[in-house]
Amino acid sequence: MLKYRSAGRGLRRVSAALLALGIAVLFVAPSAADDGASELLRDGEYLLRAGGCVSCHTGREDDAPFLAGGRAIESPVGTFYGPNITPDPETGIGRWSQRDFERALQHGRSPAGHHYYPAFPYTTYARMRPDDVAALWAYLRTVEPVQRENRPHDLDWFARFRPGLAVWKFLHFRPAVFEPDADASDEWNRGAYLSSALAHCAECHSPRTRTGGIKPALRYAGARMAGGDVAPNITPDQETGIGSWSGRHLMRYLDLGMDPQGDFAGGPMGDVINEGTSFLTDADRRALAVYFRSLEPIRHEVPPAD
Amino acid sequence: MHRMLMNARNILVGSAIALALGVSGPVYSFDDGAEVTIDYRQGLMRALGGNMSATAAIVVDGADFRDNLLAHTRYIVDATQDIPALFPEGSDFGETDALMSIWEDPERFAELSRENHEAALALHEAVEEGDDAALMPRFRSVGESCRACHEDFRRRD
Repeated sequence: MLKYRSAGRGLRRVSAALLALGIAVLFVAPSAADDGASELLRDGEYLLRAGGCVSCHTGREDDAPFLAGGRAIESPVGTFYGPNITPDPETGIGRWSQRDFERALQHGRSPAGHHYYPAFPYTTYARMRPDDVAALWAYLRTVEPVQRENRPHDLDWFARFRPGLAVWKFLHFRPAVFEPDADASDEWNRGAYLSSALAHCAECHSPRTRTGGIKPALRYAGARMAGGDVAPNITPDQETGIGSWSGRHLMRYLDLGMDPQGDFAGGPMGDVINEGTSFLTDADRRALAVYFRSLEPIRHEVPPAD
Repeated sequence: MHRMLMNARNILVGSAIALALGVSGPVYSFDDGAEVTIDYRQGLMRALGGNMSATAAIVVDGADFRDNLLAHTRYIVDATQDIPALFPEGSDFGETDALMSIWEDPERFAELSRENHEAALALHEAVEEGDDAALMPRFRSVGESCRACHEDFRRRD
């Protein structure tokens, strides 16, 4: 009897264990898959912030629908309006394939084959790793679709001829991949990747040639922006750059927008911080600081406004 | 010598006239009320910046001056009491980074100034109450409210 009961108990234990296993399989397995998918979406959302996408693709009004476009971007050839990148099929990018997205992001071509203006920094995003592009795309599919027509850009006559962009691209755009520097630390490489493949710091902080390409010798050395604001020299030059800023100052600036004098960023950099760099991890802000402090100092004063 | 005497006489005469007219300012004051206002508000903003950076050194980076925090946050509260009063009509020219939008959209400017003051008050209260866990988030929101205003109302160059 005792034996029997004990066998019964054993059986019950086995079946309880099997049941538990079954439950575990039922619940853990799908949730493990979920974890993979939600991690991809989390990465994508993070990349959206790191790439500085929000400040151009979301209006400035307090109640502006997320990523539905409308923000004015001043440029030397007129005003661009960031387009709707929500998955709305009519007015957003709901009908795009992942391939369309890659082509837009990294080659500056629309699904219909038109060239994009380089106000959209595909020149930078061209260096994004394929898995990052895939994560960003996966995240964008999950954004609330918003029906909102794109506002046409308001450009000077000579800039309205889109096929002319082929010439610009021939002069200034090279599809590229990010090549880590094997001699540098992981942290430095992370900072270099964040800046040159995502955050596109050089796009505003570098003066441009007459044809609108970044002057390579003055990359990050500061420029006056079309709206009249100065994007300062962010090379570590003592007099004209950020040579007196410590890594801590830089990290704090990218997080809180406070410079070493206790002054707070406004204007376009305020946008960049609000919508972008304040969302990064401390480790990534540190990586950016390490990268910028390692640059060759360039003595370059941004010329006064005309 | 003669010139010095003449200068002294001019100063005396000038002072007498100034006193007679009931002018209380120093005799060398020029007719530049707006510039004085701009000087004052720029000095105040620099002082705000100084107190914010000192606060950040304590709150963000743990500088060992916790006892001074109250003085810094009290200044931030006092100085942000009435920011629009620092920007009277006519103080929009010369050496200022103030944008015209201050006078074009005074309601929005007043609203953002009020939010800034309220954020400063909340930070100050946390310091007073010794609520150290609230210091960082409240400092952050003061910073956000500074940026919000600079974004729309200050030129950056």
